[in-house]
Amino acid sequence: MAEIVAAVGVPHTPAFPGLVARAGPGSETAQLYGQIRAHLTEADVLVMFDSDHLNTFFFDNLPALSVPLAESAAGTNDGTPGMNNRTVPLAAGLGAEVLAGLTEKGYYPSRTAKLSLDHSVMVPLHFLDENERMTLLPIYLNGLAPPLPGAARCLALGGDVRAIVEAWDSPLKVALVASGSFSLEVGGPRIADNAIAGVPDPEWVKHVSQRLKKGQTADLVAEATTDRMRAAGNVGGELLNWIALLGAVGDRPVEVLEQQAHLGHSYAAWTWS
Amino acid sequence: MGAYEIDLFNHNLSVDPEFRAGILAGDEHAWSSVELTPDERAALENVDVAWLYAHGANDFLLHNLFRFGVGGVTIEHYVRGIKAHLTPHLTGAEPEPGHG
Repeated sequence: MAEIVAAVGVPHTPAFPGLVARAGPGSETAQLYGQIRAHLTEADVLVMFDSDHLNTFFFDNLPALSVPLAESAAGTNDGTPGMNNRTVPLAAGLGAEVLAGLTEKGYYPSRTAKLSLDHSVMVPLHFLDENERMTLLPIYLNGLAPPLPGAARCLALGGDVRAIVEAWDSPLKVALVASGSFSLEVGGPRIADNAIAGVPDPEWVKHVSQRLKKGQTADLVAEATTDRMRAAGNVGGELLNWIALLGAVGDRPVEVLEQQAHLGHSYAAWTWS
Repeated sequence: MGAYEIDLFNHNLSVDPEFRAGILAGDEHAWSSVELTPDERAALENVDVAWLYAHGANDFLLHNLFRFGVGGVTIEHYVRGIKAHLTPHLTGAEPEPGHG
C-alpha cells in the first residue's frame, strides 16, 4: 500500500518565482520554501489541496470539488512570470481511487479528464519539486467564488482522502500539500493603494497560525465561515485547503510554522511518523 | 452571476495568449469573439474598473486587465476604479449585491 510520508502547507504567490530568481537562494522566501522542501525528500507523489483561480475552471461549469483523471497537465496556463512551463505527470490512478472513494462517501466530486494548471499549483511545485521528479494529484476545492464548501466538510474530506491514499495499492510514497493564503485580496476593493493585491487582515493570519501551532483545529473550523474567510480577502477561502490538510493530519503536531503575516500567509510542516 | 461575458473576457486574457495578443493589438476578431454589450465593450476598452465592478464583474478576474496592461492601464487608474465603489458618488452607480 502507498505510504504517506509528509504533510505541508505553503503559499502560491505568483510573484515568488521571479522574486526568488532575483533575490537568490538566501532570500527569506527561498529559505522558507527550502525548509518545507526538506520534508519532502522521500515523496514520490504530491497530493495537493488547491483552489483554482478561475483559470483551469470558469463560471460555465465551476466545481466545488474536482479530481483530475488525466495522465498529465501543462502549466502554467495563466501567464505567471518566472516559471519553467512544463507538462507535469499526474497520478491518474490515484485520481481514480480518490474520485471513486469520495463519491462513495457522499462528496460527489466532478471528474476532470483534461486540464491545465495555474500558478496556484505550479508555484508550490516550482519550489517543492525543484528536480521535477514527482507526480502530482491536485484536489480542487472552490475557495474563490461563493458559495464555498463548508469548513467542517473540508476537514472531513481531508481525513477521507488520507484513508483513500493509505488504501491505494501502490509502493509509492505520498506527501500531502495545502496551497494558499489566509488573508489576501487580489484585484478587489481592499487591495493596497499602490499594488494589485493587499492583505486586509494580517491579524487573521496570526490568529490562524496560532491555531495551527496549538493544534486547535476544531476552533479554527468553527471560525472559518465563508463570511469570516471572505472578510480576510477575496481569496481568503484558500484556508479551506489548509483545513482539508488538517483533516488528514489529525492530531499530529506541527513541526515547522513560519508566518509572513504582512503577505497574508504561513508555511508549515507536520511531523508524520 | 451578473456579468458572465465580462468575466469570460477577463478569464480569456489570462488563459488564452492568442486572445490576449489580439486584444492588446486592437484586433476586432478578438474583441468580437466575446459577446459583449456595447456598454460592456466600452467599459473594457476604457478599463472603467468602477463601472465593470458596479455591474457585477468578478473582482479577482478584473485584475487581469491590469496584469496584462489592457488599455495601458496604470496601477493608479486601477486602484482608483476598484475603490470608487467606496464613494459611489464618484461612479454614478451603486455596487450590486455580493460585492464587498
